[in-house]
Amino acid sequence: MGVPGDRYSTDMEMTNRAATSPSRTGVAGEALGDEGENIRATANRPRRRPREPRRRPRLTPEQRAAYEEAERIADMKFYMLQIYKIIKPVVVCICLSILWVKISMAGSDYRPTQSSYTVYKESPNSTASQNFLGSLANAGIIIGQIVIVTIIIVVLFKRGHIKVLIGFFMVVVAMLLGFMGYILILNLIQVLRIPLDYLTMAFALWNFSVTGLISVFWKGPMWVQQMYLTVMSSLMAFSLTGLAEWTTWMLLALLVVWDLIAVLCPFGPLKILVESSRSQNQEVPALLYTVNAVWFMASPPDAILNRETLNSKESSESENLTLNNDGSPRTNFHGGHSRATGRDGGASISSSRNSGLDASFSAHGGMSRTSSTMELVPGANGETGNRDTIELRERARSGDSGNSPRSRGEGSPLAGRVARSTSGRQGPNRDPRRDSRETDDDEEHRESSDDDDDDDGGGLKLGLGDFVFYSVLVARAAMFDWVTTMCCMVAVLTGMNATIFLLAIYQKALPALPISICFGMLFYFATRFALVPFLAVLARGQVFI
Amino acid sequence: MKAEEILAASKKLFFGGFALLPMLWLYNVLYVWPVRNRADLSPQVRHYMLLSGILSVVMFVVFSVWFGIFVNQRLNWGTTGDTLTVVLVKGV
Repeated sequence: MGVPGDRYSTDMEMTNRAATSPSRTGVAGEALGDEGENIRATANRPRRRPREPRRRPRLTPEQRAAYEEAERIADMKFYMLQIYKIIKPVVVCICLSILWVKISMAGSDYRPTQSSYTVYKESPNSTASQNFLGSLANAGIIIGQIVIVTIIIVVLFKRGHIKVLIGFFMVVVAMLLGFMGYILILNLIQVLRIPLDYLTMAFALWNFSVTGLISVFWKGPMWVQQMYLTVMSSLMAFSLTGLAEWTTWMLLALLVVWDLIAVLCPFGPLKILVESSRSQNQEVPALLYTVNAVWFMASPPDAILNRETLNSKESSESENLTLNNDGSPRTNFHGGHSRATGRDGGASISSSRNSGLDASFSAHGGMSRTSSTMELVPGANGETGNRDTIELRERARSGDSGNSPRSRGEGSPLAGRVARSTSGRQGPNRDPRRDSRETDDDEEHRESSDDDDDDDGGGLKLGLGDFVFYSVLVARAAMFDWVTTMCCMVAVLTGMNATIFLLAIYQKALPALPISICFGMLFYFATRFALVPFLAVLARGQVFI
Repeated sequence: MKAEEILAASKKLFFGGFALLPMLWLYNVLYVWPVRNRADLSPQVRHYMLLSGILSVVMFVVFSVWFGIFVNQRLNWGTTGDTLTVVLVKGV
C-alpha cells in the first residue's frame, strides 16, 4: 500500500504544476458540459465591471492608479468567489476521508495496513526519542521517494519524454483507482458486513477505474472529472492513514518544508521544471484540480498547434465563432482547439509539495496562469493577450519586470501576463515591454475579444497533492476524536483561505500546504492535549458552555 | 467542441462499453446529454447516446439481479458461495 501511495503523491505534485495549463484545456472536454461554462461565467462576472476601465487605451497616471485600485478590488472579489468553489471539493475530499476512517475504525479489528516503506514500527513501549528518530527515518524515506520521483520527472520532462510521463501518470491513476479502491472496498464490506461476490466487485472496480482513467486523461463532462479527482485524493489519503501516528506528523512537517523549498527556492525542482517547460514551450503533465476544469497535461503537439493557430488571429476568431454556435460564446475559445492553450485565467494554486510542483497560484483574475503554463502555451489566444496589456504595461514600467527570478519561476501574474500577451501576438520569446507597446496599438481591436478571454479564465488551481495531505491530516485527527477532527478541518480550511488571500496579495505561485498544515498541526495538538481533556472535565461536571 | 469530435468520442465510448464497461455507456450519456439538441450534431450521436443509455440500464439490471440472487442464495450454495464471497460475513 504504502508504495503506491507515496509514488502517487509525488506524481500528484508534478501534476499540479502541469495542471496550470489545463484550465483552458479542460475546456475541450467541457465544451460539452454547460455547467463548466456557467461556472466560469459566474466567476468572472463580478470582475468584469471593475475591469472595464482598462479597456480605455490611454490613461493619465491618476486614472491608472484609480484603475489599479479598482482592479485590485475586483481581484479580491474574484478570489472570494474562487474560494467558494475550491473549498467545496476540498471539503468533500476531507469528509470522504473522514468517512473512510470512521467506517474502518468502527470495525472491531481495524488494523491499518502498514506501509512497506516504514523501517521503524512504533510500539506503545518505545520512548519519545525512539519514536522521534524512528518516525523521522520513516518520513524521511517517503520524502526521499517524493524528491527522487520529482527529479526523475524533471529529467524526463527536460529530455522531452512527455509520453513517458503521461503513461506514468496513467499507471498511477489506474493503480490508485483500482488497487486503493479494492483496499477500501475490502475495509467497507468487512465493517459493514456486506456480502459481496468477486464477480460484482471485479466488474465494479474495472468499470470504476476505466471510467476514471478516461475522464481524467481524455474528455468528458467536467464534473465527472472533478468527482474522480476528489475521490482519488480521498483514496490516496486513506492509504496514507496506514502510517503510524508519529510518522504521519513527521511526514506532514517535512512536506511543509519540502513544499516551501520546491516552490519558493530558486533552485527547487519545481522551479527547474517550470523553467524548462518555458524554454521548451511544453506543458508539464500534471494532475490539478481547477475550479473550472481539470486538465491533464497538454500534449506538445497541441501546443504547437495552438501556437500556429493563434498566430493568425483570424483563424482563432473563426474558432470562436464555432464555439459560439455551441452556445457557449465566451468560453471556450481554447477549448476547441487544444488543451494546451493557456487561457485559463484564474489563479492556480498548486502545491509543489508533492511532486514538486508547486502551488502556484497565479492570480490575476482570470488571466493568470501558472508561470509554467503561461510560458508553455505561448499561443493562448491572440485575443487573450489583449486584456492584459494595460496591466502589463503598467507593471513593466513600474519596474516590476518579468525577469525577476521569482516572477518567472513561480508564474507570477506578471509573467503570466507577459507570456500571454506575447503569445497572443507573437512568439513566446518576446520581451514583455515590447509586447506591451505593441499591444497598445492593438488594444482597441482586441477589446471586443477581451470579454471572452475573461470568461475563459480558469480560476484557482489546487494540486491534488494538497487535497491529499489536507485529508491525511484531518483523517489522522479523525482517528482520535470528533473534536480534534472538526478543529483540524476548520484550521486546514482557514489555512487554505489564508493562502488564497496571500495569493491575491502577492500574485505569484504559492505553496498551498505550509499554512494549512501548520495550522492543522497546531490545532490538533492544542485540541488533543488541552481542549479534549477540558471538555471531558466539563462533561463530567455537567457544565454546558 | 465540434460536432465531429463529439461523434467520434461518443462512438468510441459506445464501442468501448462492450468490454464489460457499462459505466462507459453511462458516461457517454452524461457526455452527450448537454449538447443533444445542437443543430449541427449528426443524428448518429443521438442514436449512440440512446443505445448507450439502454444498454447501461440493461447491464445494471442484470448485475443487480445477479447480486440479489447471490445475496439470497449464497448460503444455499455451500462452498461455491463461500468461494465467491470476498470477505466472509461474520455471524451469518
